[in-house]
Amino acid sequence: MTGPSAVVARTALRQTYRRVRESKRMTAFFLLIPGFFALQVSGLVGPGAYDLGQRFAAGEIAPVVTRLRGTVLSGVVLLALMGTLGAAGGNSEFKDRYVTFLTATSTRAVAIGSVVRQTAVWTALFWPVTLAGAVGFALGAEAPVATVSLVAGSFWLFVVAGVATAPVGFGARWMLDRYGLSKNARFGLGAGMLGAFYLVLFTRETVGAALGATPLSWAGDLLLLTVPGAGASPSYAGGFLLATVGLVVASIGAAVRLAEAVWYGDRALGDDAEESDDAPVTATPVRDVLASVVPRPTAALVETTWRRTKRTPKTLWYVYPAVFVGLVMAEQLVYSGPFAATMYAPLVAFTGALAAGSGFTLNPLGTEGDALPGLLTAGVSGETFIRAKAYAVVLPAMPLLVGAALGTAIGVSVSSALVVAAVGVFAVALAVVAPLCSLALGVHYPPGDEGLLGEDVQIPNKSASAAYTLGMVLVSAPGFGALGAYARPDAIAPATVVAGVGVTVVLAAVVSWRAYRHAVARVDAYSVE
Amino acid sequence: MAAIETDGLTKRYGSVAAVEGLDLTVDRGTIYGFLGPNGAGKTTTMRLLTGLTRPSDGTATVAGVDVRDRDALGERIGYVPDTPPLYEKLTAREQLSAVADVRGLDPERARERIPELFDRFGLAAAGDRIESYSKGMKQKTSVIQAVVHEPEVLFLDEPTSGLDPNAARTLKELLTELRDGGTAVFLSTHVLSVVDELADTVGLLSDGRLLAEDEPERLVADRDGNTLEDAFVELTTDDDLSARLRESP
Repeated sequence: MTGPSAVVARTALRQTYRRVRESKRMTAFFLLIPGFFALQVSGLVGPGAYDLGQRFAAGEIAPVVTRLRGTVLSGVVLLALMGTLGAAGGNSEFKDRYVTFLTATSTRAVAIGSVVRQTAVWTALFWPVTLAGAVGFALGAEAPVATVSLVAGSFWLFVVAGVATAPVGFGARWMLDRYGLSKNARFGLGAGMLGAFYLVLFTRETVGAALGATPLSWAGDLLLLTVPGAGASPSYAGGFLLATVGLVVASIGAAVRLAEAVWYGDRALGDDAEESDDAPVTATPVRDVLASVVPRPTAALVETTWRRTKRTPKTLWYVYPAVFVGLVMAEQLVYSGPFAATMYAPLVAFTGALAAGSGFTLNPLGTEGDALPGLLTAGVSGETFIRAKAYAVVLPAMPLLVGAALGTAIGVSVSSALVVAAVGVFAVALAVVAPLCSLALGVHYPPGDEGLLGEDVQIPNKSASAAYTLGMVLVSAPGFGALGAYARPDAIAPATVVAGVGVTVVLAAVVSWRAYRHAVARVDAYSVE
Repeated sequence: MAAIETDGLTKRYGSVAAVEGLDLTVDRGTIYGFLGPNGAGKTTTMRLLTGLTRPSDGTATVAGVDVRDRDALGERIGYVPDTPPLYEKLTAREQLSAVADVRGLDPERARERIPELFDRFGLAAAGDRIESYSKGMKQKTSVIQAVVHEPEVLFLDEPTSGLDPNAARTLKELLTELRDGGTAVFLSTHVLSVVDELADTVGLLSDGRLLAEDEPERLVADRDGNTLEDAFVELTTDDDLSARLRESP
């Protein structure tokens, strides 16, 4: 394969591959994520495809087939959402990275190469999970031939989703550029897409049932074609295959057209509308208010951090996994779990605090970017720097977090005023310890430490995030456990809850102080090497 | 007291010495031209003197402050690194306002001085975000940021990079004024004409060691050529001299 598109795709893939291989953390990400889900889906850990296969072999044909068809349908929707998100997020990368190619070959070749790269990357990342599921099912059903359509069909679905969503991503980028929408709008679009993703994830059975009567259900026929006794229709499977081949061809054509519009549009390199200010000196009302309670240098750093974060909301990307954890915990523990609704309040406090500390404080030096030498040679002490970063999180997070936790506690009718107060104190303690714990770990990551998102987001979410999450779990465990016990049918007394929360408060105070001192010492000793 | 004084200043990365036994003295009210081939250790020296990098050995004081005391050092120095140390998402006005406050500059004084410097460098787009600036505009902002607090010692690493001739002239005039006002200027650049024009003393670094140090005119007069460039080439390609330096303790 020596055509221009193949060269673009191969070069880009090689670059991605080396980037992953050269980073142990990224290698671990690419191996552990699919590995974890593969274990679950296949049935090696807990009930999965293998068990479904066994039920199928035991004669439960109809319910298993219905379940499989529903899974395929919700999978198609999830793939489409994920693909769109990936494509929309990846276009900025395309634009910057492929300039060399764009000046060397046709736009068509570069666009196709880009689409191939994206499809290949995310197929490599997630398709092994479905492969494991297919093998697990075939083994359980004792029907090796079932793997043929399950493996080939699911692979084709990944290819279709990758290619068909590429023009949607280009289109999203074109819209944002064409109408001068800010990065905030782009972030909002991403957040909306993620919201839709989780909505589908949590309501997958409903989604599967709703789409069962549409031609999309023919995807199930394609995947079940060689599963003996599944009753898949070859004509529907063929129809789906033909339709998706057409979709792939049309999508490539659309991607090329939209790529031209994005890459060569006058606004392509434009960014957020400038806030041009003709006043001779910038007014600093926020800083002035802050400076009435903290030293002015600290206030200036806090305000600068807020300003930059507002203009680069992607910096807060790592807040999202904690929100996801919260949603999953709420669904697993309360919505379809054994705990009463009162459990929602500590869940809000814990995952909210976890989210608050997962933003820029997980790499406070790195997120300063090129400005770091200027800051360090401006007489900023470690104390000023760390305090500013902590205030930048605590000041907005504390009222939000405490308000949300207390509001939830009152909203779900926690009957004891003592427990409501304990929830409030629990939230306060976690809101303080989260950024400090995060800072203490984050200062170990120097500027330039690679982050998954690259560009201006330099947050090492991997080992730092893991250690941070573990620390937060350990600190909150006594209070969270006590509040959890209160939310069980055999609820413990409010006084016991207070004791558990009290232990968390003491732990949070100790960890916060030590984390603060550690972070300050680390910044003071920081040396550009 | 000298503005910059180093004694055996050394920085090693593993077994590689980026700077080796550097002895420097720079007086107040002078401009020191710091030259050297690529990879000679100039930027590392700048980082050592500005407290950004910790020395492996030796001592150094800047404005009477040990370079290991970064907080105290920061109050007395200004630094223009090779990459402008700016927040891309801020406007130049916001950047300068924040830096002035971080440095503890009197707000009234900052309100006067910042627009003055913007005017002087012709930075008309001070209300636009820095990410939209050209390289030269970023460099202007970086220079303004380094001098806004009227430092005792100013370090500049390739300050004319990307500047148009007008801004380059403004910068040279500013550096001369600062020197006349008692500031020590430590200037590293490959633009030898700037050093020739401004520097009172020139130091030539190679392989982390000081090859030569003298007034520009004398440095040229002591060599075969007629220009600072000739002297630079002669000194940095003199293998015997480099070998003697490496062997010296």
